[in-house]
Amino acid sequence: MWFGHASTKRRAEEAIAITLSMTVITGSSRPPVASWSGFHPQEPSLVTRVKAMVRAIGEAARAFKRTAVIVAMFATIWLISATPASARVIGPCQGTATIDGVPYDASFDTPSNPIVVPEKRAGLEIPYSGSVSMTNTNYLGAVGVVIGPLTVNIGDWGLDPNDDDVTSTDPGATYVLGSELDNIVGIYQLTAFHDADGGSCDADAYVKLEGPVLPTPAGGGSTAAAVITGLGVVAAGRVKGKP
Amino acid sequence: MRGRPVLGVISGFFFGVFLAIALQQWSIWPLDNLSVFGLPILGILLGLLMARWAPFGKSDGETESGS
Repeated sequence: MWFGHASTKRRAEEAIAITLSMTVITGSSRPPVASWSGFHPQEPSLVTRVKAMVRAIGEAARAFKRTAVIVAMFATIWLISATPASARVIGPCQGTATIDGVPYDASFDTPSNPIVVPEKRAGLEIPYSGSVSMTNTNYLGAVGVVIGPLTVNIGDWGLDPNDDDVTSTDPGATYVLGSELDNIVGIYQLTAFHDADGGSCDADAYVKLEGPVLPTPAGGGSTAAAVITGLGVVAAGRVKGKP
Repeated sequence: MRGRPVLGVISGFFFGVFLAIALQQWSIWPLDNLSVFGLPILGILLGLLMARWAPFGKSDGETESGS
């Protein structure tokens, strides 16, 4: 046996590991001479080579797993921190609305710059106007709330033949808010479309409904649930108990 | 892995889901694809990392005396 005791065996295995690494990196199986002056391993056994290879593969697999987890974390953080697609109006359509004295148009189109609906909103009068610069006969459209990959329809219009080809809202048009938004708070992404014979428009907008969050079922419930499940995540860091 | 990876995955997933809803309710971020999918994935990874980096605090088998 060419390795008689533990330290010699350990050095031999390290030399084999380096040899394997050098083979992968340079294509040469010769270890660096300066690192092993005075020690020249003879022919290692096949079992030792296999053990070293398995150890190297295991180390590589662990390193890959660590790298994959880190990459996944950074990718997720990047996805979450990335600015979502700016809300916009695509097509020959435009519109404005005035809420609580503030005029809004398509530029209020990001989560940090949304259309704000105040807490005291029951009975709020919202003057609005809109127009299209295309043939507007046989129009139809809809508006919905974006929830992840889904869009929940909250309103639609048409199919209206609009034989007179009216292309704008009536002057002085006003919408009066009722109680439909009571106990609803938060920020919502809205998406809408309008199709007619002359073309189509698509639009996105963000609407912020102000009001106290914790008294609402969704606000209070989700906040409490986030805290409780967050404690569960922390508890995952505790050592498993003995049976 | 000395922690509780199963607990970490389950609680991390629901933590992400409820955090996404809470952020929307607090008008911080809407319920878009990023939060609906990203936060639960991030929660799962966080739970796994917590289990990986265990121990935090005392184990269930330890006593107050520490003996």
